Amino acid sequence: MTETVSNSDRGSGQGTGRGTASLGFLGRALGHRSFMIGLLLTGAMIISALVSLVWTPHSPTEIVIAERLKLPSASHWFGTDQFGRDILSMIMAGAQTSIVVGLIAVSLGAVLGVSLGLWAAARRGWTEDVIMRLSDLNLAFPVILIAILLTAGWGPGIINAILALGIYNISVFARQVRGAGIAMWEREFVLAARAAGKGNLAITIEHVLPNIISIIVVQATISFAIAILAEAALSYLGVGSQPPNPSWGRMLSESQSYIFLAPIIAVWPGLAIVLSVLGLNLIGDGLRDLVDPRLARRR
Amino acid sequence: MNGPVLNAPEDSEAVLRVEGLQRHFTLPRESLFRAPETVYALNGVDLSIRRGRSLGVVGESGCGKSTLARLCMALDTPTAGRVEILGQDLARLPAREMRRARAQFQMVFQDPYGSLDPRHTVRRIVGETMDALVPGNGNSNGKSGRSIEREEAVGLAIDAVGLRANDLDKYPHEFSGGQRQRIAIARALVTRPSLIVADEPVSALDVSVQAQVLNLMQELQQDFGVTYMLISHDLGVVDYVCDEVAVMYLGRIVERASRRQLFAKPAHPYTQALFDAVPRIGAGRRRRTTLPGNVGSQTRQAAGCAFADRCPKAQSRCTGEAPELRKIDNGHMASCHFA
Repeated sequence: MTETVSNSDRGSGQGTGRGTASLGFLGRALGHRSFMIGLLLTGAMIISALVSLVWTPHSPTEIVIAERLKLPSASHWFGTDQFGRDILSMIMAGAQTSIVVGLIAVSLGAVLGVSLGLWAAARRGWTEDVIMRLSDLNLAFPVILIAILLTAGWGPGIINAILALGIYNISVFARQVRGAGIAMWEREFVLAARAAGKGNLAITIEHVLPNIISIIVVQATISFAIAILAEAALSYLGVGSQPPNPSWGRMLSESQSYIFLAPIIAVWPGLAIVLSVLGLNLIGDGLRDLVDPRLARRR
Repeated sequence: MNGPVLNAPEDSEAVLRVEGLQRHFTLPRESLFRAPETVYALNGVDLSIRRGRSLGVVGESGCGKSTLARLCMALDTPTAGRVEILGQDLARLPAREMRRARAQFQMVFQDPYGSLDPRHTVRRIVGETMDALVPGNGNSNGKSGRSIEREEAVGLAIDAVGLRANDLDKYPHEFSGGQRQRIAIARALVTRPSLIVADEPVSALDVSVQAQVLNLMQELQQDFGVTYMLISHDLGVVDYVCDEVAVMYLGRIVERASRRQLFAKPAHPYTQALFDAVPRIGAGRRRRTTLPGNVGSQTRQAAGCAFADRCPKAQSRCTGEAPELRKIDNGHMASCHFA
């Protein structure tokens, strides 16, 4: 394959060279350009969230009416919003909300959804029918509706938004994993494992799951990105994170009223969302390559 | 070798015995008002293989060869009939004993690209079969005495098939088709089974590599005393490896004989047609007798001989009366009224 092409000839920057068999995961990751860009973007989001826990340039909730709708300056790098709050500080603190929502909603969906999907693929028959019809039922309810239902029961708040997204994600993962899992069960190496006396659980853990992990990883990063966007939508509707707790989604929707007066205040949360979503997607793509032994040694 | 589950029988005893084996599949219902159709994949197969011998099973696609292989490997449950390995009825073995019994019968699959998990190293692939013998040791990183035993067995098997020890940590995609099939054979061999069922083991390989793999299988038979059931559509492969041959047509064995007898004097018209269909170098433009029509329907069972509608010798008797598989010579059986 590419072994015959010397590395300097390949402009992609992804070729960490032949003989990468000895190279660890870390070494291969460092040579994967888009993965590193993704790591950089996502790292920036995580670091700003962490830093905001102890320090922000200004308080993200302090209202200074005299300073409202200011353009970027030395004291307010990203400018100020309609209440005179420092946008940079709000973006940093808003990263916390996004990460918490994304992480919990995706973990909840992934853990339960993957288990159910694998179970459906392994058992088939009525087990599969029950799981998949329940999943269809769940998908028939939009996230927003689930969130509103939860809000009606327990009042508005970020927890309900997370739960709503998590419940929705269960079906998303279950469907993906079931489909990919069934395809794996048709493969001959599964038959070989059965000939070796492996039971359904062992085959699922040792053969099916490792072969579909890339699909799960990619789905997780996409779901994380969707969760960030959905949190924005839910916050806009008042069923997500509550003011004054900063949230990129609410910043974006609030800036909408000032779009002609001060368009720049919509740019910052928009950019934050786009870059973190992009970063997560690049990481997902990169991980898919890096965890695949077939691709691992070619890059 | 592994306790009381399956004791090695006398040399003359059959390693594999199949009696009246049937397997019917119900197709998904197509119409609300008609009963779902049934595919008659196997319609009563009897055979046995003695220790250290190899039986070739030939027949065209869809004749039930692979179904037979799966049933012999207990990967599927028969509709009727039974499969005995080393005198043990597979259907009667409890699940736990079945796991251990599997060490005695292993399989080599047709497609060496699909039968090896791309995410596992050779060490893990070959060692997987050992897990049945060594329970509770799913991973190769265990450091117990059992895993040493496992390591040794894997090393021996990989050596026996002509791969090197430093191949153990490679992944399947790093090997050629022939080498992959060697890995698959090592996996089947690692528990020192009595029986290996090989389902078209070389048909996915280049002709030049086929001979290497077949030679390897023969060597292993001499070294380890394995019994083979070799499923193939290629008469050349069967001629090369097997002592006995069974010819299948539509889920039945239509002829059974030693290799020499069958290749010298094929008795069943279907077998004769199979031989006639083999392309030969130097045969010139001699016109071959080809069979009219396609393989008969698998969803209907004929009252008479299943081959009657394509048979050049068919007469009225054939469509009304099914021929029994009967002895026509010493060790030569055929199911044809005119054999």
